[in-house]
Amino acid sequence: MAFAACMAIPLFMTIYIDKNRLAEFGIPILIALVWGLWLSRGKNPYRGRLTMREGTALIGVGFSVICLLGTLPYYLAGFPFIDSLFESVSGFTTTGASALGYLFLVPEELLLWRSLSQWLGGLGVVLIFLTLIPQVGQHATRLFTGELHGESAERIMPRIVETIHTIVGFYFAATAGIATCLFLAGMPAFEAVNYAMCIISTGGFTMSNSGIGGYHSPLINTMVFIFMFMSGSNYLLCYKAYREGPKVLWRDSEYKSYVVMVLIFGFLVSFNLWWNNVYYSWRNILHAFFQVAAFASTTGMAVDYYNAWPEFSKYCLLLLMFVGGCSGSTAGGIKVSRITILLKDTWEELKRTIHPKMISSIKMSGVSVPTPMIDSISRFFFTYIVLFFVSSCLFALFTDFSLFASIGAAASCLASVGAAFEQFADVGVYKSLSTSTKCVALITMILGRLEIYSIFVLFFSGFWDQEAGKFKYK
Amino acid sequence: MNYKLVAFLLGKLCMTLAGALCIPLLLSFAYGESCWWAFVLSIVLSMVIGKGLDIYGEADAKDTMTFREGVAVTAGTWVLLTWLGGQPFYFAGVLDQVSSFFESISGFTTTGSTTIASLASCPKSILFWRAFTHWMGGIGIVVWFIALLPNLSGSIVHAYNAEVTGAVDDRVLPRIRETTIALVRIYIVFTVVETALLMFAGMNLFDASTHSFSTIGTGGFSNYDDSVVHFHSVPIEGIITLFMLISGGNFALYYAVWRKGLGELWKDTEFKTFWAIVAVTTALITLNLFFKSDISMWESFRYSMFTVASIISTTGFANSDFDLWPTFSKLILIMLMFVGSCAGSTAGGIKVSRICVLWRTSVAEIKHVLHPNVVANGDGTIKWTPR
Repeated sequence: MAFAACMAIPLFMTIYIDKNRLAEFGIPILIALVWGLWLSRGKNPYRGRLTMREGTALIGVGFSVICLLGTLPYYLAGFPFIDSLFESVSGFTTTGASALGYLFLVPEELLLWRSLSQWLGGLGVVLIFLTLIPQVGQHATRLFTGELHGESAERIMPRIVETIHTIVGFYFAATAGIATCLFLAGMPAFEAVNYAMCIISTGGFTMSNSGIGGYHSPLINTMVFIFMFMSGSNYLLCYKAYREGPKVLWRDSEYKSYVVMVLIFGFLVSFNLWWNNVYYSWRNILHAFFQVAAFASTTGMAVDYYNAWPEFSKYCLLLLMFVGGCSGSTAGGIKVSRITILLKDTWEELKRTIHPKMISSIKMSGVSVPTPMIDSISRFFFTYIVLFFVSSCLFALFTDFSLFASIGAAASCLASVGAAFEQFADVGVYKSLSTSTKCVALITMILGRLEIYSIFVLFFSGFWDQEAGKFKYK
Repeated sequence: MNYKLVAFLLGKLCMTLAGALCIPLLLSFAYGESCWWAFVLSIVLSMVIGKGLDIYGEADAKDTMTFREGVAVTAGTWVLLTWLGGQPFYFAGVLDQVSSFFESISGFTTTGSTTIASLASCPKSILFWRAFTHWMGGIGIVVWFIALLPNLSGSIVHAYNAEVTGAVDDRVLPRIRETTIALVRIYIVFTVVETALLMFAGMNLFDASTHSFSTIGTGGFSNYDDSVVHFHSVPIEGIITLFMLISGGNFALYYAVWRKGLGELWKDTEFKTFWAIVAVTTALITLNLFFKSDISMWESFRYSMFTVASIISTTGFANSDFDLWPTFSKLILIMLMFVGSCAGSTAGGIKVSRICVLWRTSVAEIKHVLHPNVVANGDGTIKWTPR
């Protein structure tokens, strides 16, 4: 099993090397190097034998290791261990909740490291895990669906390496593009680069406690809205649209649902804000759409103090956290494709009630969805809701904040949003919370990010049994 | 769609409602209340509508009802009957038209939200009618129908299917009439037993019977603005707790117990899960209350037990102001509202059986992720109560 983990580490090291300007980064790099080299000593005797077991272990353990190593820079800079761990996990899961407190007191290198960790976390799918795909047989498709969410696996399978290269290129290019745009819109260069990394990964770390709203620039707001919206859509689809023209977008059911969802919720919230005279004229629309995109793409940036908005708007935002972005994006949540499939199936169920003998199938982008997949999605949905309940209970138990605050915090961590409501509307609130609360948030973030099963499986009896894989999968 | 059959059945149902309205009418005479004419008006209204539908409709005994008619009857019933059931509140001047419709829907659906601002100034016959709507709505209007209309019971199966809740096929359908009558009998026995026990614990007949109606129907209307707190009595709370939980169980299961003995209870997965959920959540809330507020362990247990039973059975009685409880407890209560009680009970919610099936398939899903080629459990098949 270890052979697989070692493949992730060298990649991970190279990332560190870029950052060796500082003493506090030197030690983590050294540790990562030594560990990585030590693990890679062994040759890879099982070429092409990476099964579901190894794949899942790699995701689960690899992720934890990366989070732990990512903790060191903060810790060595003098932050308490739990805060550092929180910041690191929040970064790599692209959540964006912060436990560092006042950001103007945090050194710039650390701010960069935060953004970088989100950027890496977002790219993690591609960088760390997908490079393993060529090594494994067909079992890896499952691994692929495990991380890349949902239904897009089959589309990418041919010529996988090239596609990965293209996606990585796309990710780089998009980051550079966003940074340039933000810079041209009047943001200082350093902040533009940081924000670009946090937006493309739908992470949502901010450079100051006032966030994007602090610039008071409608141009920047609009740009960030567009970029957040784009980051929440499927990268493979974006790549396809780039190659074959924008028509591809309109053939994709998930993308359509995503656009419709953002539009509907955007207008609902705008109308609600306008009705209650929250802002002056067009700002209602701009702020509403910004916040809707921020929550739908699970970025979690705030354009204004949305916690003071009317209840209806806040509940809309809460709902969006559950849905999340598209599959194949860096966004968290249940994913638009799953929700779309569930909604379509519910509608079919109604029809089946009237016509009990009707044979029906539901289609996504013109391809019918097999029943086992629908069942599987329903189970995922149920598990997600159960986790949400458990984690809100724990939040409530440890913080004693109001119901809405606890529910929001749980939904937010599970969908890797970061921002929530009431006390949690300030993403930096975690600094002042108890260690147990932070631990709950940590676990929720990791479970949500890795889509639950990848982690749960690790604790199942028999999972670590070395012999098990050999005679069961032939 | 066979409109005449639907109209015929709805007409019969309106007549049944008119019959039911006679009980509070007699009561208002007995108490010498001036609102008797409200019931008379409602009865006349129900009879006129019922007769009208009856004239239009006709039913051939050979007419078999399809699912369409079943749904139409059930939906029509719930709209028409709840509206008619709300008329006494309107005619008696207690509520306006919309509020009385609300009150009646809240009653027949056993929700238990009220729009009456002051229950103390309400006539007793009106209070009785509120509780009685819970009782009728609890077991389901269609069930009464089957029990009362023998010649059509074969074709009413579809209406029954549309109304009776839950995921588990409990095989009541083949012999639907006998089973339904047995269910109604069990329902009545529970109500009578609870009334007797409540009277034994110190309530008068009126309070005891109305609270029994509310409890067994898992509704939650009380005769007092401060609900069960009004009585300040531990035995009363205990009895109501017990019967709320009993009403949260599957009535078809009680029928099986009646025929085959108590062993049936422990063979039933859902029933066991239901009681396990009650036990665990009560323990959690008790501890939470004990540590977060300055009340004794016994008081914590008393409040949490009652509230858990009230919420999980979707009754809604209160013996303390749980809005003031810690957030953790409130969240647990919200969770219980979602879960609800057993399939085949009078309670609402998603139902324990569905949650249980979802839970087991989700665990099976994790196993499936781990062993993608293993067939056992991997396809979502799970074990369930053998019957």
